[in-house]
This record gives sequence, C-alpha cells and structure tokens, in this order.
Amino acid sequence: MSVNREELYRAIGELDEALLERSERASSGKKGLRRLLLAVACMGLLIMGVRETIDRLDLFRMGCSTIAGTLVDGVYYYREGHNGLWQYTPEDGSRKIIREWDMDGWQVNTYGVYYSQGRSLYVREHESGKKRCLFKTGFWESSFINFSLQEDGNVVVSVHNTRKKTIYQVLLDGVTGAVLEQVTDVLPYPGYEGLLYSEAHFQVGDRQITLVPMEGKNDCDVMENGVSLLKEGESVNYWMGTYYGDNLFLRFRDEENPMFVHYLVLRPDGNDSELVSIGGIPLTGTNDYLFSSLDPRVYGGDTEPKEPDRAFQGDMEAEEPGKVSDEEAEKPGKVSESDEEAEEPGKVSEDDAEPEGQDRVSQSGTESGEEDREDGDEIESVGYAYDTVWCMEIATGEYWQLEIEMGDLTDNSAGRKVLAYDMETDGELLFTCAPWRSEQMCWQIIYDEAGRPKALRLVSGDIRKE
Amino acid sequence: MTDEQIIGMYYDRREEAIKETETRYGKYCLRVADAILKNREDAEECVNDTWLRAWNAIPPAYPKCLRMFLARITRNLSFNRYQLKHTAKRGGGEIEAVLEELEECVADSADIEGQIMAKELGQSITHFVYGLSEREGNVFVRRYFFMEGVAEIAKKYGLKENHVSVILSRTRKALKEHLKKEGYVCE
Repeated sequence: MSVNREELYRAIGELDEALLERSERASSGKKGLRRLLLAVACMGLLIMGVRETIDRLDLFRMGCSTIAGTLVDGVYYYREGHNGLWQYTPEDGSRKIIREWDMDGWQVNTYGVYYSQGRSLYVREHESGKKRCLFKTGFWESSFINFSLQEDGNVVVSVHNTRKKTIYQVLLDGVTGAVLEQVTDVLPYPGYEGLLYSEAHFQVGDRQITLVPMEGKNDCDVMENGVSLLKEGESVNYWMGTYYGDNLFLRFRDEENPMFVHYLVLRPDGNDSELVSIGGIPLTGTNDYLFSSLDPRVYGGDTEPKEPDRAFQGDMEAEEPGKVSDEEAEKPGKVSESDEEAEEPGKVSEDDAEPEGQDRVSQSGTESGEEDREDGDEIESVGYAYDTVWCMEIATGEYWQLEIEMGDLTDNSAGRKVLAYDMETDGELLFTCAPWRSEQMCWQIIYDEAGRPKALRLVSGDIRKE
Repeated sequence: MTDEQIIGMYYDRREEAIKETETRYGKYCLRVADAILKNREDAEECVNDTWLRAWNAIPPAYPKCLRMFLARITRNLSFNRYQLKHTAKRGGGEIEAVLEELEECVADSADIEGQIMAKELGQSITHFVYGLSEREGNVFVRRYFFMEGVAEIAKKYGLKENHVSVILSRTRKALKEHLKKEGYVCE
C-alpha cells in the first residue's frame, strides 16, 4: 500500500495535541533571549554563591592572625583561624564549636554570641544554643553592617552603604532585635562631622558618659549629666574608649610618646582617677589591674613623659601606703621600692637586681632603668620580645613583672615560653596568643597574700589540644 | 473562563459553551482555516462547522488542550472543503505548496491498496515527530499542521528562512524513510 499526499496531510492533522501546543509555546527568538538571560542570572547566582561560600569558609582570606578571645562567665570564646568560632570551658577543658562559617565580626556578652555577616546580625543564645537573625537590612539599603554591644545588653548597629557613601546607626534591643531608636542620622561616610552614637556614648555602671567634640572630633570633652569631667585645657580622643573590667579608660589627647598612654579612668562608683600606662596600651585588665607584655622600664627610661607628674596617678597622695611619692613619680617607669613588695616574687626590687636568665629582664632596681640600658643590648630586646607579662595596679600605678610557672606540663607547643602579643583575662585566668601562631595558651593568675597578682601558672599550652 | 469551565459546560450540555468557545477561540480557528482555504467566507463556514463538531465530540471527548482540539477540527474541515473545491484542478496558495512538499514523502501517484486509517497514520507521524529535536519538530508542525509560511516560521523561531527550508527538507526525507519503514509507502 502507499498513501497519497492528501492522506498524509490528513494524517498530520491527527498529531498529538501536546506537539501542537509545544510548537505554539516555543518562540525561539524570545525563548533564546529568555534562556540567555536565565543562564546569565544562574551564572551570576552561582558566582555569588561560590564567592559567598569561599568567603564564609574562610579558606582564602588573608591576614588571618590569631587574636585573644573574650571571657564571659568563665567561658572563653575565641576565633580559630580558618576553623570557625569556638568556646572553651576551662573548668572541664571542653571545647565546642559555635560557628563553623566565617563571619565579619563577633562579640559576646552574658546573653549570647553576636555575629554579623554581610547585612545581617545574628545571635546565638547561650542558654538554648539556638541561632536567630536579630537584624537585617535590604540590598539597596546597605552594603554591610557592623555592630557593638553595649554595657546594658543593647546593640548599636552601624548601617553602611558604600554605593551612597552613607552611614547611620540604630539601637537594638539585644534580645528581641527590636529597633529602639535611630541613634545616628544618615551621615556622609567617610568624613562625617561629629561623632557617631557608638563613638560618643559610654556606660560605666549606672553612669552615662558622653563625649562632646570641642575643636574637631579628635578633641572631646567628657560629660556626665551635662557636667565636664575634665580640667581646663584637657581633652580626650574620641576613638580610644576602652573597658578594662568595669572601668572605662579614655585616652588623653596630650601625650606625644605612644609608649606613654595617659588615661582618664572612670569607675562605676565615681572614684575616677588618671593613669599613665607605660609601654603602650595595656592588652587586658580587670577592675584593679592592667596587664601588658612590654617591659615598662625600657620605655620608662627611654623617654621622659610630657608631664612626669602624671606618670602614675595624677592627683594621687604619695603618703598612702604602697604609693609612689611625688618625687619618685617624676620619672616614669618607676617600680615599687617598699621592702615588703621588693621581696615578693616577681616584683622588681633592689635585692633582685641581677638578671636571672635569658628570659628575665635586668632588674637593677634603678628608678629609671637607664643603667640597665647602658649595661647592654639585652634590655632593648626584652622590651620587644613579648615574652614577659607585666602587671600594673590601677590605683597606685605601680608595676611589676609576673613570674612564669610552666609547671611540669610537657605539651606546651609554644616552646615553653610565653608569647603574649595579645591577652584576655577575667582576673582568674589569663589567655595569651601570638598573631602568627595558632596556639591559645591558658594561665592561672596566682595572687600573693596581699591579693596582688604575682605569677602566671600554665594551665594549658594550647587549649585546642585539650 | 477557563478551558475546564468551558468543557464543563459542554458536558452539562449547555449551549452557552459554543458561545464561550467562539468568544475565546473564534479568531484563532479562523486563522487556521484561512491558512488552508485563503477565502474568508469559506473559512468562516468551516469555523462555524467547528463549533458543531466540537458540540458533538464533547462528551465523550475531554480535550487536554481545547485550543488544539478545535484547531484540529478546523484544519480537517478546511481541508475537506479545499478538496471539494479543488477536485478538478489544483489551485495555488499555501495548501498546494504544502501538498507538493508532502508528495516527496509518498508515492508519485496514488496507489492505495487498502483503506488507510488516518488515525493510525497520524499516530505513526506523531511518533516520528517526537523523535525529532524540539526545534525540528516545531518547524514541522508549524509548516504541515498550521500551514504557516517559511518566512513566518523563521520569524517565530528566530531562524533564517534558508535554515527553516533546510530543516524542512531534512525532515521530509526522514519522514519518507520512516513511512517506508512503517510500510505506508512502497519502496
């Protein structure tokens, strides 16, 4: 048999309806364009996804140095380079990962771990361990955010928009994430005039402290209840407000040598004072003591401070026991010279004048340390070695070196040596680390009978290996 | 009103179904008929007949796609009318061109040894079209079912006219082989 063309034509009329419908839908030109756009969109999403993933995995991020973490309620939180955010409980030596993905910034308080990623702020509650988004901005509203936890548990979020070059700040409830107030109006960024809310507002106990720019924002007055806390002619830097323990340290504007950091110390009880931290900015501190790893005597003898009277405590009474007299205070870097203190381990005294080893500084007991420097180069190297830990009493300005007790621990991967380029303490434990190494060393602070820190006893050479 | 609702009216034997169908697909069916007949009056008559055929077919038929169901009826009615009017001589136009092209796929002259069931052949061709690429299948359907010109197809799919012609030529050859293999065309 053979069909003719009419029958074939008629038979084509019996084609499946799905084929007919498909041919109706298809419009190659538009469809091709749609497919192209779809492919481009998919490719864009893929690239963004890969980039975001790589970014969060923290695999290729440069400059991933180790810094000390934060101690809250006896638990140590720290970021491990390329390996997420961890919590370490010294009590039982346990370690737990908090977040595997990398993040832009993180802070901890008694409620939870707060961290930001891109345009979102999250909190992981300590109690439940649950994570939730606390705050989020739209793509067009901002490029990224950062944040700072307030002493009262609220959060100040800075919303940056790099396209519009603007910044504004909102105050959030630290638990609910509710926006309580826009605390800084939209400002041009960078180069805005005045201070952001987070730069100008501090809480010290129940006290509300405000910085008010005077001549340019680098010179600020310190106000409390509308009254200045500064003397005539004094001003502080707006960007140097730091908490050690419950005290707020504001840096005076008058110092010329960065190794002499002159602070106004604001305390919750209102018993404010001034202090010169010799050897630069302290690395950590408690309500009563500051800790640093640079030998204060090296710097104290190197350069005379601008105002020697403020070497320890501006208006302190030299007659008080344990305090340095006005005459003694004329030179910075002085150490306690009382016999009792000199006999205490770790304290610098006349009886402890000779160096005890390579890791110990020359402790001649001279007031300025100048003789030490004349004796050899050793002191200079010690001053920069970061392998000693020094303690300064905030109330008196006295400082001394802490003894290091390595004990019989053999797992100290740091080479049985302190590397205290960064530190964190809560008064009981002290953690140290060096930026180019990954170890986080844990030390117990040993106090003498008078309740002053005298030594560090190694608890763990590397908490990551617990 | 959706296709399902219109088909529901056919099933309920409500005459409004025809009016709704005409409102929705009148112009479309007229275009299908006009492509074959090239005569407005004849096309309108075929479309009117389409509504009656649909009324008779639904139920029991339940079209998956009402528009294609109607297009098929219109096409068949239009082709019947075309044959009726052109029994004596072949005329011009798209239908004649299509028939000439399809002639390549079959015997030079009619040599029917038995009654061919159009439905059976239709299923075979459906199978053949499904075996083509989507683009080739679509071009084939637009040309030989909807009677669209090469230029129109080329525009619809964003192709060059020459490319459409090549696709059609290649498809016709493939169809001929298919029909031979299936026994619809003698060697």
